[in-house]
Amino acid sequence: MNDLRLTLELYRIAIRAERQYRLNFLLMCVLGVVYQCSGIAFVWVMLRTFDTIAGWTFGEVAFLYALRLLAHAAWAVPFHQLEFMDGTIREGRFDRYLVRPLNPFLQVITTRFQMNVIGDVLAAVVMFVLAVNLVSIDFSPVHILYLIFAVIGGALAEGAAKVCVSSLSFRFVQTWAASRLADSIYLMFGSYPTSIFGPAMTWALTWVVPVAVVAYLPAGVLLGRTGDLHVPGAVAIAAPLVGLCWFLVAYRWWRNQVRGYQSVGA
Amino acid sequence: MPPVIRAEGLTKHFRRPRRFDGPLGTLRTMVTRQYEETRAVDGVDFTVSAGELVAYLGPNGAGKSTTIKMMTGVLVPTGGLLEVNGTVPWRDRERNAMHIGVVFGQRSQLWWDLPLIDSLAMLGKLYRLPHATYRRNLDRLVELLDVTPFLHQPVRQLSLGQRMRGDLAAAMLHEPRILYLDEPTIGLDAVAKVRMRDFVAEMNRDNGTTVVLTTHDLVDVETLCDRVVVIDSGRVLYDGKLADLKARYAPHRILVAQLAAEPVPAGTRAGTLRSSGIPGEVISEENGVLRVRFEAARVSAQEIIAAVNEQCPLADLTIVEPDLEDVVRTLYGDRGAA
Amino acid sequence: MPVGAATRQDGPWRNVPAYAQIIRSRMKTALTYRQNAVFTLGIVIVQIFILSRVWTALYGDAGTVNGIPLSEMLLYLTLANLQGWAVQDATVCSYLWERIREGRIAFDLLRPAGFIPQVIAQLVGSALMMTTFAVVALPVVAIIGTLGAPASPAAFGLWLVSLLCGIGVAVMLNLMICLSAFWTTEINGTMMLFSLISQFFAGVFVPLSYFPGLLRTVAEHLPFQATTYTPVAIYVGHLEGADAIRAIGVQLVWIAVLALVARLVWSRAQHRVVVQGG
Repeated sequence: MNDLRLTLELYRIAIRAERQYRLNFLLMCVLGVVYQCSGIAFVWVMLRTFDTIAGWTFGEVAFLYALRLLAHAAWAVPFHQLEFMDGTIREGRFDRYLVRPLNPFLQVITTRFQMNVIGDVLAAVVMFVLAVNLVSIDFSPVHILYLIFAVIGGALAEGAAKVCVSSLSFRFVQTWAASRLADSIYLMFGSYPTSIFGPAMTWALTWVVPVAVVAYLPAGVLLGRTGDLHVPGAVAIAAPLVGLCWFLVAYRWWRNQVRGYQSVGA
Repeated sequence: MPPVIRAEGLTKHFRRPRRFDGPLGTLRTMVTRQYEETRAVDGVDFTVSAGELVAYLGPNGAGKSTTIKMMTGVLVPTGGLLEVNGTVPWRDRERNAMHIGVVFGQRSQLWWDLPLIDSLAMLGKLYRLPHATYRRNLDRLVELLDVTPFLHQPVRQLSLGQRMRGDLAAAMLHEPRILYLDEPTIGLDAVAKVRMRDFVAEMNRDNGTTVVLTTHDLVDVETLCDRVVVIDSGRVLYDGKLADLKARYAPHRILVAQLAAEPVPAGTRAGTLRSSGIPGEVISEENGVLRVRFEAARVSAQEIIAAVNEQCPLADLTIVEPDLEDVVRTLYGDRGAA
Repeated sequence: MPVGAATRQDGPWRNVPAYAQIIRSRMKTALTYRQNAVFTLGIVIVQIFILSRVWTALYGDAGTVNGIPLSEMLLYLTLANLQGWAVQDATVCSYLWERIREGRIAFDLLRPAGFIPQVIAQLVGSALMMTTFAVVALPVVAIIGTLGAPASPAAFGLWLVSLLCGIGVAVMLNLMICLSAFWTTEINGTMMLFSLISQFFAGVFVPLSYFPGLLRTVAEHLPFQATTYTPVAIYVGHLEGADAIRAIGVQLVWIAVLALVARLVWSRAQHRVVVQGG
């Protein structure tokens, strides 16, 4: 597809532009790693005193956390610029995107390539390698395939929320707070077994804001814990599809909202 | 030939939530759903034919930018009909984009941290230009705009004039049928402005590119356009030839004359002229310089010179033509009164 | 009036009205941007909720762990998170960083009032407004988290003192971050990182008593515990009597140490400003 080729080309020049700011790159990488690993530091301190949380051992929680990090990184690498779209609109650059013969969504995500997402990837990979050594997972080809789908589905589930929040920027000027809230919800709620939040919240975090589908359900499947999940095993296996559906809905919504774009200046 | 741009009853309303002030303001703003409606464009009709060079004039907030943004597909109209090149801009945005070039005066479309040539190469790909076409157009534009000296410099290191030339090249690279220029000469020095005008005129002449220009610089209009559309408060105030605009709104010429030295008190000669029924109005007499305003359509220069000279001998004189600025002042001034 | 007589030259308190004005206008600005505060408060409330749930799940059936009953733990978490939110700076550092980038910092440097005291005044104003917001938000916090009475009347009194000192330490730490603006190209990342580290080592997620061996030693030697952990620990009764007083003493020491470091850093930063030129 021509659009795909153009997008890759745009990414390439965005990365080239970024190479000039090397010290920043390092700082941002470190930031990414520390930020993502902070959650697990907390869990580690906790589980030195307590052996399990809601029946999950530290190794299993670590695995859940790592899965979440992988999904987050899979989303962030291509799509992180979506969060900064309010700045792009404020600076008047979005008008230019509408005047070019390419899907504005693709132009938004290739505006820049901030290097701290590399930090996110590093944190995810390291975390995953460590966690896998703490649990016993049978890495058959089927399981590996499922892992890949789970990561992609999880990325799309988190992405759906990010896309929705981003579309607010077409109508409202100050949206960074909503963006940070969405980010925090996925980071905080998504790093623990969802069951600890009570049945009502668990339901909401599965069907309303798809946090549980990012890591909790797929981790449950891969760890062989489908028995104590709040949904039947088959639904848990299909969790990545929930992410995909939500993303498609959110994307359609975003494209639709561009019509309400009011532009800046006179 | 069908018009290249056609607008009928074009309307754009903005609804903004009414903001409340005061201590509970934020809460009230969020709870009550009252809206303020601004009519930025209120029923505008016009057509532009292929190859025309049209200027949009209007005070700030008149709706010029909004109209351009609707034509380029950035904003969706609230009502009315708008067709550009046979397509509805906001509905077939990407198709519309292939045939237009846009220069936003204040914001460059070039990639900031990369050499100019890289931006142009990327745009060549974005507009799906076959390599041969890209090379041909690039070479031609580079030569016309004299961009070679800084072609390989990062855009952030360029001066405003150089950047503007880069933006012009970027806009014309894909041979668009319509070129939109939104305040293109803002901030440019005199030489750069002339260069820009020459280039636009040449594109219009040689390529037949239709040009739509919004500007506050009236010299842009005088040198480039012969058709002017004046917009205010979302409505078209005037649409026609520049010469006719001047004739209608600034129909006066001014005789500026150096009076021959005479030992009379200042002002007496002006008084004499005023009571003598010359076909013109005395504006002032200061330091021996007399200014008389007369209607260009009714009175010829020769008549007024003769009439004045008869009463007061003149040592030297010049005739001042109506300025577009006078026109604009009159037009905008009417708005203030209304 | 003779030239120069318009400005008061008297005494060591001559710049105090200026600082008072800065505090007032920063509070006003913070009030205008209260929507932002509401949102970040929303995030803190979510955090309180999550931590409460996590700890409740961890406790499971046990009523008391390590000598601390669940209710006391939840009170600790609620208070620590709320205090942690109130002392962090959301606006002053980025405001300063923008002014440095644009060169408008020159105006602040030209004033007769010292630059560091000006920044401190900004941070104090911000902290006062945030504390006010926190007080206003108490009802909501009480519903989502757990609020309760202090361990004793003495604890309450000491808590107030310690809270003030804690705000003082936090202001000095934020001052450091503000000064870093003279060196970095990107302030948001620094602020996020700082917020995370300071929250962690201030015991906002986990009380310091849970930190294992080496980590505990490190945490006790960092200034972060002096911002939030000390006051909250006093309130719930983890620190009492002589221990509490000693802890308050440590807070005061940290304020003094950080003030000295700020002085040093500022002398370097000033050099940097001159070098960057007009």
